[in-house]
Amino acid sequence: MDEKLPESVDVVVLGTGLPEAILASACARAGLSVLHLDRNEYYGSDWSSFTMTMIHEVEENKVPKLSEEEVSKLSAHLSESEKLVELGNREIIENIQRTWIPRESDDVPMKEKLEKMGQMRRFSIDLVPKILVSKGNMVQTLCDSQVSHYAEFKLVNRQLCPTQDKNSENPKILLNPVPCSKGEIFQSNVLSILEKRALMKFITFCTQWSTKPTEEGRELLGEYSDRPFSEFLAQMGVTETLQSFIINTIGILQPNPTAMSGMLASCEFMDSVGHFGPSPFLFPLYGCGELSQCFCRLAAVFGSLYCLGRPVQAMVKENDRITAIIANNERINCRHVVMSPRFVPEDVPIQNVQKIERVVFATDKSIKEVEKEHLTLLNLASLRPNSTISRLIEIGFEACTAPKGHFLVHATGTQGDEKSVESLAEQIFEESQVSPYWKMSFTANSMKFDPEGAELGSNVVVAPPVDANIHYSSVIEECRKLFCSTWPDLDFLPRAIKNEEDDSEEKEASESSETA
Amino acid sequence: MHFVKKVPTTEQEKAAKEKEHAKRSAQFLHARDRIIAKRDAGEYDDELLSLTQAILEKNADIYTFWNIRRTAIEQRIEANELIQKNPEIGEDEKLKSGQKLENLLAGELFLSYECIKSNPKSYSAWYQRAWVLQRQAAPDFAKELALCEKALQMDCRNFHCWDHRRIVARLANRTEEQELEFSNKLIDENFSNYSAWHYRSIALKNIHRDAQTGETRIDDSLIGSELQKVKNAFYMDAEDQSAWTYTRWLLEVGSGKEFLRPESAAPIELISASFHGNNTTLVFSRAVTVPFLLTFVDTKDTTRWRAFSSTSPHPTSSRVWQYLSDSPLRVVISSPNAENVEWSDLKEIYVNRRRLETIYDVVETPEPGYIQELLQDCHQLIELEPKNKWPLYMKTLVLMEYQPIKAHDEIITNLRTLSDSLDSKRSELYKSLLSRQKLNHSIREQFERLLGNEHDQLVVRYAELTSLEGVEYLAGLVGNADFQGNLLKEIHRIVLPNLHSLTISENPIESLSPSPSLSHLTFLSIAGTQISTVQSVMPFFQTTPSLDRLLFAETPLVEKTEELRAQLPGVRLIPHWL
Repeated sequence: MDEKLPESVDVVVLGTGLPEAILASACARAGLSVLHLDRNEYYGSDWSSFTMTMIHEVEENKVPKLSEEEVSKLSAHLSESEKLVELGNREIIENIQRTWIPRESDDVPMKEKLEKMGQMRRFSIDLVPKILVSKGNMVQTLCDSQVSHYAEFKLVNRQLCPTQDKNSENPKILLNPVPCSKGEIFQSNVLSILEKRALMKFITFCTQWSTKPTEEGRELLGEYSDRPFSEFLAQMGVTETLQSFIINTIGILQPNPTAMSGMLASCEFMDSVGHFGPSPFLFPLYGCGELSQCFCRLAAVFGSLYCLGRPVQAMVKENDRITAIIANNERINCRHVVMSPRFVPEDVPIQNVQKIERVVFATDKSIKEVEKEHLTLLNLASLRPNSTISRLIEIGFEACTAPKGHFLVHATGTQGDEKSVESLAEQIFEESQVSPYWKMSFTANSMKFDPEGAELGSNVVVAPPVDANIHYSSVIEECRKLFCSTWPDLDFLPRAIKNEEDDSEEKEASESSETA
Repeated sequence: MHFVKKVPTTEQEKAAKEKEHAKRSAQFLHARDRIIAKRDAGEYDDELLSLTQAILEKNADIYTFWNIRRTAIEQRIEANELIQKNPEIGEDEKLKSGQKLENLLAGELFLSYECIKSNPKSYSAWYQRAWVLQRQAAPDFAKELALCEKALQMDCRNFHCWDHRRIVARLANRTEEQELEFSNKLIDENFSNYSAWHYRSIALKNIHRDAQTGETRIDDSLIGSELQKVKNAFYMDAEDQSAWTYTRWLLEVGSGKEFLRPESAAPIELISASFHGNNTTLVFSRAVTVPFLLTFVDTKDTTRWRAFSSTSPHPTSSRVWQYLSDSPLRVVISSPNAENVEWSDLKEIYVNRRRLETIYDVVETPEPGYIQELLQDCHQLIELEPKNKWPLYMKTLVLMEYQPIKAHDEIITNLRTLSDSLDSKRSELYKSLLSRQKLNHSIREQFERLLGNEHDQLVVRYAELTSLEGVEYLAGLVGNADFQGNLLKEIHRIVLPNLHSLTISENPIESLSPSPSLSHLTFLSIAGTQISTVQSVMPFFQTTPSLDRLLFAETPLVEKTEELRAQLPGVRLIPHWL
């Protein structure tokens, strides 16, 4: 903690959230000297995962504004032409509420029970739960960079699609397991035989369509290409139920799709089916927070220096460039600064902010109980048609995010004028006789700043914010773009040089998912 | 292996390969000579084992070397047995010897595993495994089954592995129910797996086998539930033939007979017995041999029997037999398991009417519920996929089996559609089905008349017949046949030995092959056929001594009338229509 930081590095990275970790590892991998700092004692910043005993820490990262005395003390580090820029501590995660919910059925309160059995640390509560698309760019990057060696993955092996009886007054939400692979469709008892046929036809159509160049693909969709996906499916003779399955499950990667974007999303989905198993999606064991740590580990392997729990106070600016940062009252000169949105100085105007509604429930029964435990993905978009994102992810012991028999249910929704994802989740719990014993709700702010804004300094890179997307595609893509525009002559996480003994990364990844 | 693309090699790679190849073949030849020399000298020692191992690791297909290894191992097994039996040898020593042998066998499993890994289709390596498993003291069957499963995951159609699994399942006393469950698992993963469906059919047959009779009886409800399962497959991919083939098997096992082979499962019965002045003709529901048919008659004579078949001039097993004598035989006409044996002296023709009615579907049997459902499913799929042959083919087969009378017109239309447009590559198949349907249709129309004693004439004209298969059940009843205007090509395939009059005018016949079955002919019309030379008909006429009229108008043979007359002096030749 008290060892001295280097006086000068190529890049200082502030915050250990996933995008910062990716950028840090890319820099280190490219041979730049990197100092990676975080004010928290833990990795992951606003992308972290917490055990039940540590979850309180998420509320404790308040940093008081620098007092005048401190400012003058820090100013001692500056030369005449330089000025001090105080770093921000923006409220990325706010309105946090955590409660243990008493239940009549528990003779001993669940909290006591879990504490007694030493199970509290078996939880891994994600702030930003997402899934990985098997053939998506995140998995590709993980494999290429060999970051995949540091993590294990499980298949998200159940996709549920909710349907509601339109004729009933208080319609129940039915949770239908959607079959995705040929084998699952064959075994499904949710689809009628004609729907199975229509689904197979759709999948075959996807396979053929995906081989066509974009323009030809668009032409094939004809007048429907920019109309809603559902209209296109309807004219293919797809029933309403199946339309909902296709749009909300197979097309889950694209909210509110048009025929064109829906087809692209469906093809991406189908392309990933069978890559590591019957499901196209993976989930990291021990939670998504693991991914940040894995990238940090790669960065460390390539020489990046890590300092957590370090007060990161201010930057030193000369003209329009940041020349150093001051942390723990030490000055570290640098050529570039990468920072998470949390660190962006308070006076920089926000370009836009998307509010993400997040609720996490802890339960001891699955929302749809079957013999085997599943990792479940449930798109609620059809129940909140006016919002972009509405989904549940239920993960438990299988993904090492909860003790045996327990689950974490993550609700994620963008804000709209409809029922909240929280109330939908609660309705589902009630209808499937699940009573959560713990709940945490918060708002995650997806903040964006004007990249051209002069306020920050020309050598500052603001990492992409937390987002509501289900996948990592945009995160990795934005990181790549930022990296390539900042260091145009360096490669972004190039393919690792192969060692003789570790045959192929893909094999590694498939082996870890085989346990699924 | 399936699904594996071949990568073209470059010239450079080729050269390197050839060099490597030459080196390796020199090594191989050296080791081979050494092995053979040792074998010839009877030296089945450790060196021989390691020599063969080194080669088999590179090429598992040299079965001679596996053979040598087995001999070597067998010698050690015998040696071990002697040690175990010898009272003078201590327990420790015995234990050690047994253990050594087990290690050797385990090593054999390891070697064959390595071989299978590099060549999953090596007959010898798979065989070696099964051989070893049968000699181990405590073979690990669970591990072996897991290995099979893994190999089948890599290539679900690896029949070596399927065979091996069957052996292992038997050795491990796996129940048929467990094997059925195994087929479920594979089918659930991927239903386009002909092997798994087949495996399932065998398991089902064995589970539902009657302990006493050994016959398979699968009840309607099971057929129904199996159809529900396979239906998922053919709805999802109506082009997938494994599902349709399984469906056909189900229907056949459900109806207790092979499709379109009405006699295939029922016990053998006498169909007809008749006296024709110089012979007694017996027709059976299935092909029988002389010893069998002697149980039906009052003679022990085995020399005066003649059999007729469409495929062989002198068959030893046949449905149609003649006993040559001037007086009728006495024949058993009661059913095989009747209490009192009933004899007939054949004063009049004996006809097993009930059996003939089933053979020609004179009465349609009501179809079970699952058949009605299947017909609806096929109908729906035909509408959804008018270009797919399978649902139409399946529907047509079912109609031919269950509604041959009611749906006659539809059957004909469907078969034409299949042969002309949907599946023209197999048009001959559909044409032969069409021929069968039309023949049976025509026989049904003449059925009562044929069974009456007044007429012996069968007339099937202009019916696109390509074959007369099935007509032989009428061998005792038909003396006069008219097959004018069909598509018959060969006269010798007609199995109606009591024919005296035959019209095969306007058929695409080019020559007449000798036919023992037609030796009683007195009248033959080959008018409008393509027969052009005397040579192509004379061998036939040598087998028809009673022939007295030959009609051959509108054939190229007309020009050879004089030549023909010279060859057939006693026959009235009719080269022109009267």
